Amino acid sequence: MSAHTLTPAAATAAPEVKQRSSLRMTVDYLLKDRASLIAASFLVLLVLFALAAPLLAGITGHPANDQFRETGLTPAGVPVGPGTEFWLGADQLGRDVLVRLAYGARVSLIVGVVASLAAASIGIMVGMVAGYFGGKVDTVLSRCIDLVMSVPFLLAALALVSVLGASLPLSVGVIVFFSWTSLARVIRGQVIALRQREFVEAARSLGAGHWGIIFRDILPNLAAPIIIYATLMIPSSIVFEATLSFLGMGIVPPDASWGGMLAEASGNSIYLTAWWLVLFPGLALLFTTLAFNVLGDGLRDALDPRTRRKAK
Amino acid sequence: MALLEVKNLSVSFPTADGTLHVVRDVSFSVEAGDFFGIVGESGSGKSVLVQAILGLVPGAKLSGQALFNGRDLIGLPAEELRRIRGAKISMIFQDPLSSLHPQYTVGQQLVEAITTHQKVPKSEARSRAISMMRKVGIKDAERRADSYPHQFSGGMRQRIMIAMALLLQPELIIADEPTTALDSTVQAQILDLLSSMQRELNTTVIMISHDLSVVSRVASQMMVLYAGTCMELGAADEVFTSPSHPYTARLLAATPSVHNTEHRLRPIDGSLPSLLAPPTGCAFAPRCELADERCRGTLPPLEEHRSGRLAACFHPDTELAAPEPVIARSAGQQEGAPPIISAQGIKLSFSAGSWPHKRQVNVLKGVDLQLFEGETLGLVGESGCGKSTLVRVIAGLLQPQEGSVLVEGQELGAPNTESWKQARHLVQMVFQDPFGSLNPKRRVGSIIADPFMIHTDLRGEQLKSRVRELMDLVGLNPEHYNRFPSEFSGGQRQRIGIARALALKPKVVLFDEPVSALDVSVQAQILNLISDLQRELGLSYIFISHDLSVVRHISDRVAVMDRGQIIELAGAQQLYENPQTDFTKTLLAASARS
Amino acid sequence: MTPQKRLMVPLSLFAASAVLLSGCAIDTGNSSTPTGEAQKGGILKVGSNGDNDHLDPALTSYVPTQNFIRATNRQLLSYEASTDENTRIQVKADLAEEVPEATNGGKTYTFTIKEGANWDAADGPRQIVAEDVVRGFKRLCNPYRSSPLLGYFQTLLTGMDEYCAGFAKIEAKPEPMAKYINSAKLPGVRAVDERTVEFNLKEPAGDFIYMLTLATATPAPEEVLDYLPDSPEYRENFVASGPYTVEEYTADKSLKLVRNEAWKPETDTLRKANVDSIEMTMGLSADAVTQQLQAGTLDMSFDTGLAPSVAAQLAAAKDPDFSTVDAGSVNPFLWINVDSPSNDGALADKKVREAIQYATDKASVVQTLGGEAVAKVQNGIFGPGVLGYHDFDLYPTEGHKGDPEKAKKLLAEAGYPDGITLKMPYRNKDIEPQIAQTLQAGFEKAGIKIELIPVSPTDYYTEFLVNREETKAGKWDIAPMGWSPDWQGGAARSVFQPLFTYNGTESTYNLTNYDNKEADKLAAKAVQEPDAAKAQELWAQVDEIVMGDSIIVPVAAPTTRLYHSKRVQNFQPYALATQGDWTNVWVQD
Repeated sequence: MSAHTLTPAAATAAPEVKQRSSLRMTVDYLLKDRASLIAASFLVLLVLFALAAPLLAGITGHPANDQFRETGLTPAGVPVGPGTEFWLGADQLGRDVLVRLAYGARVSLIVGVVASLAAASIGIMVGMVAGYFGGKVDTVLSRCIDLVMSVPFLLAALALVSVLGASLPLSVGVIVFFSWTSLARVIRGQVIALRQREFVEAARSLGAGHWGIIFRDILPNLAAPIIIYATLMIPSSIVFEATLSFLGMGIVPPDASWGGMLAEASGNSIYLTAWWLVLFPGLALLFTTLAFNVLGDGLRDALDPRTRRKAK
Repeated sequence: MALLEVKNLSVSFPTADGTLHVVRDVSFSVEAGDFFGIVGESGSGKSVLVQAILGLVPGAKLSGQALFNGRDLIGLPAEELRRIRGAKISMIFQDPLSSLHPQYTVGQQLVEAITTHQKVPKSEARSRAISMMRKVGIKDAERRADSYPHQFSGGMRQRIMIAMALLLQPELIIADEPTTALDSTVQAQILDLLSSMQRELNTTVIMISHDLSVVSRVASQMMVLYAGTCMELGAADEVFTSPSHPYTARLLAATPSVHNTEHRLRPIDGSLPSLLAPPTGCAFAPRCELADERCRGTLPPLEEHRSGRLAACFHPDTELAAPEPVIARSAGQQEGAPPIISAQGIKLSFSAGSWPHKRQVNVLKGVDLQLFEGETLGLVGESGCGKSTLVRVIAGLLQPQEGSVLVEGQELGAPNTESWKQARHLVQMVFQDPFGSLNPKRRVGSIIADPFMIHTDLRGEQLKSRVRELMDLVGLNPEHYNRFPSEFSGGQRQRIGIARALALKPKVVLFDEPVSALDVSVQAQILNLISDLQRELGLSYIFISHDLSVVRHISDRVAVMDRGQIIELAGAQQLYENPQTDFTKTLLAASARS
Repeated sequence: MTPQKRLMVPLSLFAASAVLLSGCAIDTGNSSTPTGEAQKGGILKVGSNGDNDHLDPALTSYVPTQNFIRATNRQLLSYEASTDENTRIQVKADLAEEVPEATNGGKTYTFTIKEGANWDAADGPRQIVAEDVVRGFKRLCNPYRSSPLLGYFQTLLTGMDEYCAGFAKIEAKPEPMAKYINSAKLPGVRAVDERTVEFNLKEPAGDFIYMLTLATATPAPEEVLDYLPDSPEYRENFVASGPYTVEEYTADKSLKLVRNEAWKPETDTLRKANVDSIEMTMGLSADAVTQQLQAGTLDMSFDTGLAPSVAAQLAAAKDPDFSTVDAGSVNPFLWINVDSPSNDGALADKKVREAIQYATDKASVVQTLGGEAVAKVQNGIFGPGVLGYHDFDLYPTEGHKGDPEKAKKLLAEAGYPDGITLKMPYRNKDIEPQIAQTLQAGFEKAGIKIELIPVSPTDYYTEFLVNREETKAGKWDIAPMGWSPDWQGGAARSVFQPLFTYNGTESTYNLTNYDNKEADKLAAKAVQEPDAAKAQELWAQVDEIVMGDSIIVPVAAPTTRLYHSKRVQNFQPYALATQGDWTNVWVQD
């Protein structure tokens, strides 16, 4: 069997070589991937930054929503730039950009993670059911996926928010509603392939029920795509939340969110004079999404050797 | 001068687990006009050896020399190697479908193969392509040149690949498992074609195969590889008939043969050594009955022990222990007893293709089959004849459109009905692919426990001890309860599959090609296990294989299937000695020659 | 509502019978003074985000469009463009030979049209006649599309109700409409002879002459009867009476005005028509316009404002090309929902409403708007420049920063020692979210918790404020809004009537059906008062009465911020457009 001579798995079956667990291998691979390592470190720092938000407010003496109209603004309402009083400058209402950035990070991370997890759960369920049962069930669910995918999500999101009123849970709900589809499609494809595998047939011949097969036999084999897609879903959720907040339909002011901070900077053309109002939240958003994407790519490479780039 | 002379070649891969020594210090030479066979089991390094020389294995580290017409191929730039690969060395792979482009006609692809390497007018290239197609035995070549690859059968596709390889009149053709994917009758034809082409065009051929008998049929010279080292080298037919190295001898003893029914198969115990840390001594020593301290400590050199025969062994040409005789079966077919399984008039068809080319494919065209208690019924036939479908119907995985299956006189209902669930306790199945039939993400303990989880209330320690018993029964180390399937070799995995099938103490086990994915040495272990279990547990088997010698070895009765029907059914001996239908005769003839 | 953006559209709802024109004061008198002799020629490049609302003067109600109307159309009366706030709001004769005195007890006005004032008709210049004036008024209530400012005239002109009732039955096609206009009588507007036109009012109105300066009162040439109002055919066959006419027009893209040869400068004292042509480019963002003005690739803005931050910078640098004009608007002011059931109907209690007055931090809102240079603290219902505006404060706090302690005390007295929670929606647009947050921060200090509700701009009025069911259900408790008088000057009526009167039928923007008979009585007197000083006195009383009821919290009065390129000379704001007058600037490279 020529094909197997190349794979270490077949060749290392000898008992004296301890097979490493797939988790161990993934971690090892990630540790060697410098880009993933940097991205992961950045995200750890970001989480610390978000956790330290009240601490920052304490150190600077600037609670996130307090307006420092004397120290942070000129009489004409122009905010002061980065300096000793406001490390990253003050915003147009005299609030501390650094502290708000930290509180905004909380929102972004919570929305990103919660929305991704929820969307992933829906995507997994729908994808598994559609892929496993096939036939009419698949047709109906696939059309549902097509339908959701064909909805112009921003317009629909804005319409929904304006009918129901903006709030954090609604933002998350809207994001979830529009982001489960891609994972559902991927899972469906994977399940269609897995369904043909002999181990599923074996389970059937043992008399296992459909749900038993779905959860005990198929689900564990979807771990890699689920981890990869859920990770990659986080940055798009974060951007989605920022977009909603940017359009004023996400996090309700005065609570800070990165998208809201950008919106306030641009809605007022204040960015023409106060560059720091755009730069810092913009960079935060950019690097966070970049980090999640890099990490997602790294995870994909680590979990799915077929897609791994050559020459490491 | 030899056309290809390989000296002290080693190939290794750096992996996350360490360096994998795939080929170690192999030397051989191929004279022009030779038909050179390289034989080895999985992990022997036979394919890597050849592919690495040609620069087809990215990431491989090579040392040594590979002189092709006196020019060392090792270390040549990729572009140079590519040119040599196209014009002077051609390759034929196992799967012709993946080597041919699906969107071009075979004629176009043959013409392109010529025109990319030679400046020839299109019309001339086409006429050359067509005449070559004729030469490899494609009838009506003129017209068939305009067909697409999928319009050919597997054998025909392999013929086209051979034609393509021959078109540029290469000095060397490398055929990597060219017949493995083919049915035995077709396999024989392709082997014949290869060797006649080799003689006719006086080309040099290197053929790589896992099958000793296949190589011995066509090759003039043969090299046996084990764990990356060369074990034996010599004239092919001699190596086959009188091996010098104990490994070669044991390999032959493990292979079932149509003619050998009186001896038990002799499996080679143990498994391939890790290529990460290859033994310092003889690679085969851990599994060799002749091995002594010297074998384990020092690597035996490849030396000439007989004229023209080299073997890397300190104990060459030693007589091995004789195989044990077959243990008499306790139960045969009991006259008058009711069959345990009775299939009546099974008809099944699939709809294939998509609109508007949708058509019905009749897979089973009214099959009657009876299985009696304690017997093994062999089921043979070429791929696509419906034998796998038939056992799936009996196993209750597929529902026939017509006909019924009676298990102990009870009709097998639709899936998930009460009678169907009841039948799970009586009929179980073992699948072909030990890699595919075990869920890679579940631990062995949980896989084997599955039937108990589904059908019984056994939980906790009780369940665990039952699973351990089963593992012990099939020869698995119960300590490996918590391992994943990927940590086991193919043979061990098939044991897991058998353990799972036996969990509910069924009366009938259906085997669908249970050993075809296994190496010969392991195959023998599993076949013996299957026989032993039948004897101990009084099981009844239906055993599918494309390999007639395996079926002959294990079956009491044999059914031959062709195109959805059973065309012949008789006692094993009777069928093999006195076949009634032409089809069975061809089938036997093709396999007898191997 | 956004100040300076759109005139109030549903004016026909208003029971207004008279409109005064208020003054619009130039704050910083440093608008460009002419650096030399007027120069003829050149192209004035105007940048714009949107398009004119209509080219047909009868239909337009969009403030920036008034500059286009002034360039292409003449009315009987108009204003002089001027940096001087008093000059700018004095009614001047345009087509009329002079501004007439009212006769018949203030109910009749008679005008004579200047000789030589021409239509740019297809077959050559043609004198504008009295019938054209009559035709202009007769078109206002056409069944195809009536004028948004119709209400002012319909309630004032004798017989216009009947005329319009008859017109409503006519099929909305050019021919039957022309037939009706030519045959039906409108007694309120009468052509006495070729160049003399007489207006008869139902009741005296001191501000009628101001109304005649509106685009709505523009005479209509006989050609317009061939087309539906402001139809593509109308635009194709545009007949100008001002110094410029339309040469090219692509909706939402570009507009080019060139000289109207039929216009005679000697008949027009208000327009100098220095530039040869005016090119308007649309579809530019506000920031792009600002940047192009600074770069000199555009000369003037059509409809875009100057961002507060930029304005503050320009003001600080004393840029001569920067100036501000009082818009007469109050924005924001907070409407208190007295009907709201929130906090057990606390807002019905005047003490609670007074607490809100004291809790409002107006100074911070002004700072957020861009500081004193671009906005002023506002304490009454009439903005600065509106006749009736006067400096008073019924709820004074130090530095207008609010008095949280006093507010808390009042709340405690009213039975809310732990404060109250108010729902405050706001429009999700421009600077408004920040104003909302500024107000919120101020209120929190006084123990008034504000729950902010972002609302999309299109839904803000329709779904929230003017929706009586939502209002009564307490979907909002306090809401920032803005109000601009329908034009500059004595528009006190156009503030008071729509917002603060209720006579049984609901007025759209009187959100909680506020009604004070005493104020109504004084207002009725003020409307009829011909003497401006006395009218001012009466309106001031109205203002104080309304503020005494504490139904709204005025917060700030923003100015309109004007900016133009260095090339532009003689930049004189035109009152109706609150923007430099196209017909009087010249360009100098």
